[in-house]
Amino acid sequence: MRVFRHLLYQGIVNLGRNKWAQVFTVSAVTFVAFLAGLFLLLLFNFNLAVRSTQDGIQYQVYWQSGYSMDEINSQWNDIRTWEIESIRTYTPDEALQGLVDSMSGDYDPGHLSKNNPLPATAVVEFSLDTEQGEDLAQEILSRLEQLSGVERVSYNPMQMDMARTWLAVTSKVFWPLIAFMFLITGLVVANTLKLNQINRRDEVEILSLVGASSIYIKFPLLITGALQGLIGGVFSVLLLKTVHLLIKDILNFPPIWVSIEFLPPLYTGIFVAALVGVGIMSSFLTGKDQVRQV
Amino acid sequence: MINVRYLSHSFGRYWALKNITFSLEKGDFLFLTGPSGAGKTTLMRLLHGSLPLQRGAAAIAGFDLKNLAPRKRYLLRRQVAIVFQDFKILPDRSVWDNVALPLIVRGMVKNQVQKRVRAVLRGLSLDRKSWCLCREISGGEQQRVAVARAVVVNPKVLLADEPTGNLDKKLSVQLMEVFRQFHVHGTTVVFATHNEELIRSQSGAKVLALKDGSIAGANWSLEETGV
Ligand SMILES: Nc1ncnc2c1ncn2[C@@H]1O[C@H](COP(=O)(O)OP(=O)(O)O)[C@@H](O)[C@H]1O
Ligand SMILES: [Mg+2]
Repeated sequence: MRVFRHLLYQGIVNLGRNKWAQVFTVSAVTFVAFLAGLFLLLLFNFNLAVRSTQDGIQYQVYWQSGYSMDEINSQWNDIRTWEIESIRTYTPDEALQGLVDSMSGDYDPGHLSKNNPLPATAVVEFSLDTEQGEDLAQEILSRLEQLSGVERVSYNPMQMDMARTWLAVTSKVFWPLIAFMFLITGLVVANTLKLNQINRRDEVEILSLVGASSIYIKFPLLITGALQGLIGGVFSVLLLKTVHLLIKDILNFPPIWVSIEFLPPLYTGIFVAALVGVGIMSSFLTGKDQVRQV
Repeated sequence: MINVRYLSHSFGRYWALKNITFSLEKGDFLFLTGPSGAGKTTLMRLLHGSLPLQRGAAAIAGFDLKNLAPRKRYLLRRQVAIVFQDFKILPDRSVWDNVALPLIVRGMVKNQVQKRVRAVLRGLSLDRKSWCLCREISGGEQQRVAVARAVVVNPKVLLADEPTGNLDKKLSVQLMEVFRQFHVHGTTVVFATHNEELIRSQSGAKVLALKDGSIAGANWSLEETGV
């Protein structure tokens, strides 16, 4: 335990050695992470904006007129349990009432209400997201069409196409782009930290020569790497937040009305944690090389 | 304590050591002599596990160098201390920090560390330089820091590569006294030097002369010892 505390302390003290090298290293990490974060922020907001247009894709379902209302009611209850956002239902009577209300004056439906020609209808609304993809749209469509008594299902093909295109874009471009960006950031940060640690090669060599175990040598290096990642990460998030405050409302005017959102805490957390992880990884690999060489 | 059989070592195509065979008992004091380039440093580094064993066999302080996993090497280095010809001390740390390093690395408690470091620094007349940074002291003082760092751990085997190279006569004698003290208490010492006078001053020591990587002579029979 005493040794553990000592090693932890060494890892922290290492940051204080070679101060200028540390300042440069942490600045480089901060800057690269900031650029990556900015990119992430823009992608995130772009995604949000597009996603908001594809919420509420609608299917309009028409039953055969005169089909048993009891049957239709039980189908409606069934549909409510599907993965949809909402369903608005119209019995033939309600449809007729709507029709009457929309006509001005006091039109008497009289004989129509006795022999209502209108079908039962429903508007099923749902949204597409990346996990379920367009399979969901297809599945809901075919399930609706297979319900007995359903005459036809109609939808707005433009809206469907938009949603499908975006889904394709996110799965083929969005995630690969984010993964690529993380890779680049990781490489740059890892290399910066590695350069920083090569400065301490003599010390690693001497520790090994006087009988330090490799864990003893590596652990403070890992702590230093993790701290460098953490400091760089926190600084870059602060910088990002500042920039966000400045640009938040630049698109917030008519007719666009888009205010730029900050990354949710979960994303921010993952972002910083990833940098800490990169710091630890690069120290681990560098330390491994160095200990072997002595 | 040290057993070396048919040990050879090459750097590229150049054989720095050829077929070296000798062994030492616990408590022996060996002078390793020979002109510059004879292979003294190479032999020391092999015995300390700082160079990989290429040919032949060597055992030291109970460790078989042939089968020593890199991750176990630190255990060897806790028994076998070395004074390098080029010191290998940390220039940006104090004399005290450098000498305390091997003890801290072993997880020794603080007041034990203080006691031992203080005693060793006094023995090498470094006590007044304790808090100086190593890059600010003279070459002779740096050399003594390197020696202090090696002896502070009370090693089973002490390897010293020309530790008097930068010292005047008076300091050489003082340093020799430190080595003798350890030797008396049972430490096996391998001392590389080409100072004839120093060698003559230690009666009873073994002497092994190297030349161009081969054994050129020894003052004891190499065949009767070892296996
Ligand atoms: N790392 C190395 N690479 C190439 N040649 C080396 C290396 N170390 C030592 N040598 C060569 O091996 C020979 C023995 O060197 P060394 O063991 O340092 O001799 P000594 O310590 O007796 O002066 C020398 O010729 C030297 O040039
Ligand atoms: Mg030499």
